[in-house]
Amino acid sequence: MIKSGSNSFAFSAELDSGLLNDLYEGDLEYAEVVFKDFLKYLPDYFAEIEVAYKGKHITELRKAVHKCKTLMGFVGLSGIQAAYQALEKKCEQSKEIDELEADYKDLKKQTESGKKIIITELDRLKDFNGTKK
Amino acid sequence: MKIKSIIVEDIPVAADFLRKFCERSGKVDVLGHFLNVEDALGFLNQHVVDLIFLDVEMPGATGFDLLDRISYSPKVILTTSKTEYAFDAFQYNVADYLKKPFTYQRFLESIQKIEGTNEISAAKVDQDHLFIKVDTKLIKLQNTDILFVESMGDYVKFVTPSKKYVTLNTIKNLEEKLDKATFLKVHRSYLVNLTKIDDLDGNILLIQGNQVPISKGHRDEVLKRLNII
Repeated sequence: MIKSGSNSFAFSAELDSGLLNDLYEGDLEYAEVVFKDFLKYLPDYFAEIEVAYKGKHITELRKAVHKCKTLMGFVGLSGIQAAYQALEKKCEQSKEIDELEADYKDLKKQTESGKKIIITELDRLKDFNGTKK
Repeated sequence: MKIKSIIVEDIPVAADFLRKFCERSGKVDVLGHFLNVEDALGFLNQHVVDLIFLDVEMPGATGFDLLDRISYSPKVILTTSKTEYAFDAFQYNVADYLKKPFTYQRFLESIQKIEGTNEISAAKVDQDHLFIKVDTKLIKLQNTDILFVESMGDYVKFVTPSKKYVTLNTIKNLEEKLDKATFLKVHRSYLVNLTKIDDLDGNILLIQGNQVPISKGHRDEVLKRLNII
């Protein structure tokens, strides 16, 4: 359902608002659902990355990174998505997990800050949609 | 008539997005959503769909594995966040390639492509023969004369009891046009006329002195379609 009068909501500058406007076309109720789902799935998806990294399984790490990368796109975390993309690529080229340590740690940090951005944005969406309890 | 589809996608957020687009379009029914290839194949072995929205990277087998193992050829729209699969997509003759996340407008363009190709194939169903172009001539082949068809890169070879004809075409394309009750893909490179099979020896079909291999992915479907008692 396209919400009328939705023009008064602007996605945060920390997010790729151009992409989000194109994706949701003003359907901010659905955006709220997706942002909520993002926060629901992210811990499990990132846990897969951690397990693969700690287990030194580069192929599994690449797959887990790929999955998380996809999720980032739906909430406009395009910058972080690009970092995921870069690590995914490095996984394809690396033979030793140690080569990926710096990227992994950086990604973990970026993911945490991305999560905070989405928590704040979800709050804003709830306020706007009138669904905040 | 609505396009009957399934979604094969391991990321629920992406699948929900797609399902919403399908509903909004009013053109596409989603008969099911599957998180992996095995579950999707289980469904596809029992149901015929017009279209598969197919992710490539999933737990276990990939989307391309599904295309190797499916026994008929619905239209396929690849949905992936990795652009590197474009070449494979071309090889598998997929109808379109959507990079996630994609907009509703881009989704509609894909569906319009599918609608266009459906009209073309609909005009060719229920025919008991086909014409193939060999050199400058159009040659009429009755379905009942065709023993099997073999892929030769950009060409295919039609094998009949008396002659072989080579023409520009693909197995994928022919699979859509030939009668599905009579012809079955038994290997990425072979379509056989089920009524012409003489023997099955291991993974080899014997058809009037010709040997046609069955791939592992197609073996179950071949056995199912043969009248084994």
